[in-house]
Amino acid sequence: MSSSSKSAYFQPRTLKEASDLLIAHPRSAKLVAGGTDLVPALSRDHARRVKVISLKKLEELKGIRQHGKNEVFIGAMTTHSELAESPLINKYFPALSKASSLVGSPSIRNLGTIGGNIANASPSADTAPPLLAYGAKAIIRGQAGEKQVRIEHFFTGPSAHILAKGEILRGFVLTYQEESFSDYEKLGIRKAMEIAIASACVSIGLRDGIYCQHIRIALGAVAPTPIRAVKAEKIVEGKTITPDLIRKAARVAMQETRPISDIRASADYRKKMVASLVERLVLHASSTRAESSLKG
Amino acid sequence: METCTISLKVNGRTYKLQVPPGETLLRTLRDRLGLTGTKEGCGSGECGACMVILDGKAINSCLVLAPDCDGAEILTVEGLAPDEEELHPLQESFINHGAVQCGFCTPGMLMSAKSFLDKNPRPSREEIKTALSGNLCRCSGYKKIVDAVEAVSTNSSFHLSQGESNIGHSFVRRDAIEHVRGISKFGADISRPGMVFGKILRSDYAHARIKHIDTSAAQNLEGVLAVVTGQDVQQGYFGVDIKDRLVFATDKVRYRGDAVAAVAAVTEEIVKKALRLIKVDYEPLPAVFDAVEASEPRAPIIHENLQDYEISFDTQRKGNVCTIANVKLGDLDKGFADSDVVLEDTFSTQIQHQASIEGHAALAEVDARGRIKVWSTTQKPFAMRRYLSQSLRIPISSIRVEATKIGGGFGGKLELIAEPYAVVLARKCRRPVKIVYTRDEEFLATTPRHKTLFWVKSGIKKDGTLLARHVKLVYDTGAYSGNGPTTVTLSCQLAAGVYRIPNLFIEGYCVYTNKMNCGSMRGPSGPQTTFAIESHTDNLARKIGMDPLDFRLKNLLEKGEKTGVGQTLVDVDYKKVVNAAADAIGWRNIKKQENVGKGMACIFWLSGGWATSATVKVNEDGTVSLVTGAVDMGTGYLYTSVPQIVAEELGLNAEDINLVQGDTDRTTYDHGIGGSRGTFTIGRVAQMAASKVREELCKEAAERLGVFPGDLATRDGWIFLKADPEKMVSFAEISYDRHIKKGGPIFASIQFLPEMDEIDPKRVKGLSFTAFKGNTLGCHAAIVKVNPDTGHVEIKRYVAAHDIGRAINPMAAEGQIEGGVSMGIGFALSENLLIGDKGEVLNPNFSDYKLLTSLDVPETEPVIVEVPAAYGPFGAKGLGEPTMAPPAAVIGNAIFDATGIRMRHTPMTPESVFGQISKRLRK
Repeated sequence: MSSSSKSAYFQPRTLKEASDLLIAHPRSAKLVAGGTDLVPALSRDHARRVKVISLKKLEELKGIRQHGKNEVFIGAMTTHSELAESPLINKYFPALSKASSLVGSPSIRNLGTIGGNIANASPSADTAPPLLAYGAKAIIRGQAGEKQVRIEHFFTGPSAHILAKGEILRGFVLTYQEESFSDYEKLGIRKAMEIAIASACVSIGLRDGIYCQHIRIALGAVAPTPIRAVKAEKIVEGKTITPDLIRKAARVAMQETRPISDIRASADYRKKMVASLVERLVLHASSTRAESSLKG
Repeated sequence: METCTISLKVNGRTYKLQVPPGETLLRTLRDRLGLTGTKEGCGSGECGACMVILDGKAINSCLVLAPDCDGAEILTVEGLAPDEEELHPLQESFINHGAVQCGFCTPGMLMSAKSFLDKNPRPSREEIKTALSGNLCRCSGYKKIVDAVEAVSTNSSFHLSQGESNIGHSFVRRDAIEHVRGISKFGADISRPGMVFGKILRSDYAHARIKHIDTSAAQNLEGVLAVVTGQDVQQGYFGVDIKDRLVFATDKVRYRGDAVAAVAAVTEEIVKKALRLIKVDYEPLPAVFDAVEASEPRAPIIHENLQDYEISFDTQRKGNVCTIANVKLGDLDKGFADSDVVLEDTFSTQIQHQASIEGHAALAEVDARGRIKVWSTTQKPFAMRRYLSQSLRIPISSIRVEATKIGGGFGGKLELIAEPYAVVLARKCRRPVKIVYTRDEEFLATTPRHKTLFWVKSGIKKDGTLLARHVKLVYDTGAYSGNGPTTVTLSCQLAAGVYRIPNLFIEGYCVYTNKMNCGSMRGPSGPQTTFAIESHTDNLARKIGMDPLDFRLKNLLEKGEKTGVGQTLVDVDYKKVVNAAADAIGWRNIKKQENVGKGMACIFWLSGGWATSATVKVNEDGTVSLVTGAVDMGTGYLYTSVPQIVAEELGLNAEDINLVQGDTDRTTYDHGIGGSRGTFTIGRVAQMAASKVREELCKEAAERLGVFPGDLATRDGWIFLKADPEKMVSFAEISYDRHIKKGGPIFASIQFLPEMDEIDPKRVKGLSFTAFKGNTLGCHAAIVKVNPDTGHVEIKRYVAAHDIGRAINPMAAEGQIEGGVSMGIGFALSENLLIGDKGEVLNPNFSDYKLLTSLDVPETEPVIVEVPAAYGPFGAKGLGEPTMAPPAAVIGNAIFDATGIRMRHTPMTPESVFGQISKRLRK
């Protein structure tokens, strides 16, 4: 192993090996997944001595697999393109496919991974709201073994998460729910190459097309982390959906946000867009389900 | 540093390489394998210029670590064609569809398209746009690129129109093949033996006195070859109109980005480290970032010696105001008094950046006798040489400037940028020094479009007759004047609009602030003035309940009338252009729908003049070389319309014209390319030289055939008797004999300065120039849909009609229109270079400086109108610039029609549109 003043490249074959490297180089080690965020930062700052730990060859981080009856495992190194194109994800978690298909551009989606997107912990990460809305759990592997953490608890602030020394995000487990509708929407200025000004994902289970059995509303880019609008969910849950109820939930969701003003948008606009997104998504969900139950 | 051993299979060949851990695949391909067809546009995955196919997938090679590619298979643009002879169908299609303009984004586009079609051979048009949405193109507006990809997917063949004449058909540009093969040499692609790297240390303060610079630590760093500050070089003031700028700031810095020192070292890594070791002791001064505040009496003074600077024209200068320009006509007070309706409006516009996908690059090399050669991405090689001479006090004869291929110019490559630093470093270390600007530096320290403020007041009669107008316009030129005075002059000329206004007062101000120096972006002043004036025009029409089309038709100037400054309009038909746009969009038949609206706007423009020269020389085989000091910044005029003009004049095929260009040693003088002068001025001088050569060829042919020269005609390289075409002799025969038997030469060198048109000197004061010939008109119209919930504006249709005199090459003309409109829509909706409260650029990257993608730009419908200019070659007029002026006004007017809200600031982002809609709802 090289001395600490030099940069180095490691390509571990097992998670254990990767975790050991993180422990051995606590300051200088950087896990590189798709590289879309990290590589430009590395090359902008030539002089910095970095130990690159490439995750490319870690089989344990790969793949999308059905896991038991209702569960799907998504490896952290799964690219956005793979998520967007996966029949399994499209069938059971369409909002995640859609969110993945809206990340950056086709080539960014060929490189960028869901693990990188989440571990980067940007409040605007496209895949975060769907993971929140689907109640995903993050699988974290550390020196002590593996644990599962609800995705809500993963983020602790902008670019901050709960991963401790030597811990690596291995992937996610998502549970499929019958009779549910979900969708993701993202607002930006452009239709591609865009970081969300505000984004929202709604997953809703309806009975008879109008009665809300369960709902999760997740929001991106409107708080220090991606968040769930829990109060807004409570307004709709267990009730018959009406346009008034949706508007009320949208207003409450807006109040649950803590957006910042920056060069991309003002806090005020972000808040208002949350209301607009939530209203549109829930309305769309209920009308889609109503239509399909009429047809069915 | 530890290195990694990797094995890469690139374009079918395997390479074993040692690379450092952090090296990107892009660097490996370009620097180690010499595959410079893969371009770097941003270094952060936001432009797509570096796209390659890695194990079957299109990826940004700047985002991939080379060690991660061990064992991988990579295809770059150089490997796309099956062999030397044959091209890949996509390459062929890009050439034939005019999808190649500057060529810089082309390799990346091709790679994205190839990997996409491999997977999805029969895509929809929308899917093609999605596939290309990570590849930014600044020239084309994407339409012709999408056409090219679509044609391959549908296997449709493409036939270019071929006519009897060289004029009026879409001859494909002759350099396109180099671009699609990735072998064109742009600035960053040039390297020289022993070459080292240079970089500039820039000010951290917007305004500060430099107390001391300590470079000792940097000098002592291993690998550093030269450290230069203002103390080490002789400097002279330089500037376009006002000489107010030095290469290195010495006494004080005036914006965050001002150059303080420069370093050359053996690697880029050491250069960066050395820059950090230079200690500059600053005394911060109060700074001012707003042009109006800067004009106030107590504002911090940015140039204490303003009155002492050399200036090329007569104007008033005081405080931070470096130019005051006026246009006055008639009796303003009476005009307003006679009006039935008087309306005032204010508008403002943002800083827009040229944002060529290729950044600036310069390489300087000094020979044993001290003569300097500079390879530069400049649009103006001769001016560049002059500026270098002035600014560094080096005789012109000691400098040679050779222009490289330019990956988009748009007026961003007119001034001294990286060149003087490469020169001083190369002189100091006696090694070739290359400086390539990063995307960050592009946004911090080059010459974008001026931020402006407009106040417009007009008086009209109830029937819509314009009677009076008063305009105040303020241009924020940044820390140096640059092209500010000229831009203000143009704005004053445009501010009366294209209308007949008998009483006029236009006041223009050019003001220093502590920001980057603003320059001359495509159609300088055009988008800003058009946004203000044409939005105001609609407000006037609406105020009296008149259709904005009728209002325009009523007030449009006609042939023979005078513009605001008193230029007499010749060879124009404004109504024809406006009607062409209105007809194309179906203006009078558009049905009113909720949140959907229509808008239109006009721009008049001129065809740039300035001095030039050209040589047309016949080779021994009867082909011809055209030698010009001009360059092509990507528009293609020098590869399409100019050879077509020369060929037509001579009676030859355009394919037989060889080009020698853009080199101060090998060509004769040209002012530099810009101002929509390519086809109009370079084309004209080339035509004149060709005409003289034709005369000489005919004279010799007449002697051989025993006839009078006047009885002869030329065609396809033959000279024949008009009355008896069987009697003929070829160019080749004449030229061969003349050269072998007499030593030749057959050539003509012509000098040319297009006359300026007369204006009324009584009307103007403080303008930096008068008026160019070749008046043109553009009129655009669009239908937009506004989403009131989010403020998003969707352009449903966009029509752009332009009078271009004569379309020498219709496909190239369409490309200019589509590309200009796309840039204008970026100005209207998304692009905005933001400056923070300390003078820092807040968004120096393509992620937040938002160029529109293939999914955002509507498919512009170009309408070519031909009202020939007697002065232009075969009637042609300039086109490049005015194409981008109208969109902001068009879209603003359409938003008004859709929603009743008047947008007064660009860009009209969703947030700003939503804000206006909400404000109205609250009322």
